[in-house]
Amino acid sequence: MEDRRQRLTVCFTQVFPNLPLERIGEVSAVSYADWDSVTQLLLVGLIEEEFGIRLAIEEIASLTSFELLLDHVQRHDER
Amino acid sequence: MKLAAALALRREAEGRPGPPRLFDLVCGFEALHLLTFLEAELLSFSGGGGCRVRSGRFGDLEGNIERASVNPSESVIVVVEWPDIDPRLGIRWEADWRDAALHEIGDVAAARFARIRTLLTTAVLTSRVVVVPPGSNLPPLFHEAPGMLGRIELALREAAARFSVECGQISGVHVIRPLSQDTDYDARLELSAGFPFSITGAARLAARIAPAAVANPPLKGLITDLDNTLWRGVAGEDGEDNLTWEGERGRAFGLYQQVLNGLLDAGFLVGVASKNEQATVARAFSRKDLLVQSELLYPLEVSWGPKSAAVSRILAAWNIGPESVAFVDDDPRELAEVGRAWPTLRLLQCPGGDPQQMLTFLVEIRRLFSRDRIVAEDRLRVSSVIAASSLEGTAASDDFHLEEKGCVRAELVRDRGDLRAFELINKTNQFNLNGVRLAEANWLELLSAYPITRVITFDYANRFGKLGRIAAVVVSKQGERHIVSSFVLSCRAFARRVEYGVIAFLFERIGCGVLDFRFRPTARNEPIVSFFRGLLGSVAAEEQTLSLTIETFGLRAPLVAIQMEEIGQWKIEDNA
Repeated sequence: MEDRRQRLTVCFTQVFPNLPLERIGEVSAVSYADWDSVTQLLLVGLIEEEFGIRLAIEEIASLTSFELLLDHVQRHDER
Repeated sequence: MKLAAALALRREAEGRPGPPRLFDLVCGFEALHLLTFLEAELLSFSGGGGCRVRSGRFGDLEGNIERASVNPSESVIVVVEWPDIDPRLGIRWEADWRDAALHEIGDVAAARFARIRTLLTTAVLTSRVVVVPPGSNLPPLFHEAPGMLGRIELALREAAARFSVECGQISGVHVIRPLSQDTDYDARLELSAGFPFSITGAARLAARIAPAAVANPPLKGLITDLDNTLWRGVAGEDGEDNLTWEGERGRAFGLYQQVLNGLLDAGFLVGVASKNEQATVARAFSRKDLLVQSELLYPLEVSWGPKSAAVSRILAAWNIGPESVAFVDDDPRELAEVGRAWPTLRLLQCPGGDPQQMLTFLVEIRRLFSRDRIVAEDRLRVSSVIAASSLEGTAASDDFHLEEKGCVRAELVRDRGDLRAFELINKTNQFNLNGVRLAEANWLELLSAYPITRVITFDYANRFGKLGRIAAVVVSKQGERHIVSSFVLSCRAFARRVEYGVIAFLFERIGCGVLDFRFRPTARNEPIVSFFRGLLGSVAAEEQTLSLTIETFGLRAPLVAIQMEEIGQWKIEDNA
């Protein structure tokens, strides 16, 4: 779990270099203005690359917070 | 390249000093990951500076080309996808895929391709243009079984192929091989983001585009080993008759020889560094069935000494720096020894007899020695370097100079597609006034400043043969002054007094009393410093304008007995 959180955090720092580390765990598209449709796709690309997964089209649109993405990665690994 | 690596590269480059090099990515889809990968790939060509890629409006390929033409950048990169040609050829919009509705789509596509091509002829007036025609990703709209090419698909592919051919015929337009694998595309990203490619496809396409988007000079020379590299076998052990480059075990070496012939024909230098007996190599080279033109391999450094020393002698004979040269050997220990002595030399390990590995290796050689086009001077280069070697040490005397019967022909450059002139101006060699390199956009700007600014090239021939165009000058009239902003002479023409002939020619034809040279020292241009010291006395190694009067030139220049001719009108006119 911790390893996945750390790897996901690295993905977030690459897309949002100005976002303070301590805020990453609670960030969402609603709470952070830099998180728009383009950065969402960058984030999805990085996460797919990092975790070797492929998000479904509806997941690309709906997984819009750190917690939701972490939960998705976690569930994928448990499958 | 991974997306994470591309993002990291871009971020690392944000702090680089100076204005970034500017490029346009022109497409009808969202630029998204292709833009990220392109910026990252272009950074490797930016020489330590930054890069910025602009993108246009979604769904407006033609408008984006027009806007890029109005506000030019270094290169306009045009990526055409099938939906740009006709929305029915994409998956994003509803479309009638019934046969009756599609029967004229080939004609529609041909007309659309023609419009895009016309727009490119405008874009190319101000920028280098790179075009990627549509790839393999046509949707399943055809009745034929998958794998079959039916009437409609053939018409579309014919239109795309004709578009590629016609674009390739426009000077300054560079056509890139489109993507062709199913895994290069991602319908999910297409529908969710308007981006047609998969991440791996975008990375692959960016890697193809970037080298074409920058006018980067190829390497100049290749130094090759012989045993188990140029041929299969060891000459000293197997005997020259048993060396082979044919048959299933030797053919890979034959392919290498064929590629070397191609390089020689394109004007690249190929030398030999081999640990062997000279007599053994001479016997091997006397074989009539050798595929490579062994008489053009120069120099042949055959000895039992270290290969790094052989490389040193070859570089001296060619008079070019190690950063412009590749060294090929099958033995990793030799590569390591040479690499230690020459860290900027490009080291390539010959893979031996495996034909598949050899093909991959040869593609890499072609990449390092790629040229947009081969011009007449390229074909003269190898023979002129070999001829020059036989004259070494004799060219300094007046007597020899007179015997050479040199002839210089000056030509005014007006054609933007004159690759040789562009290449000469951008030479980073020793006889270079300031080392300033021009992007294609700067080059076009120079040519469009005619007649205030004139680009002149000089070709040289003497009784021993032709050297082709070996010098270039950019001279502008600014008020009463005549400013020389570029003065470059190929190292093949050293010691023939061509440099003096060029200046004498400028004084005479321009009719001025003073020439102002915009000098800047570089790591390599000591020869031009010596040249000016000979004419002006002391010259400090600092950026400055060197003013040379016709009187000083007359007093200090050596005897110049070169016949001068000119092509075209190039006398510098007044600003008015």
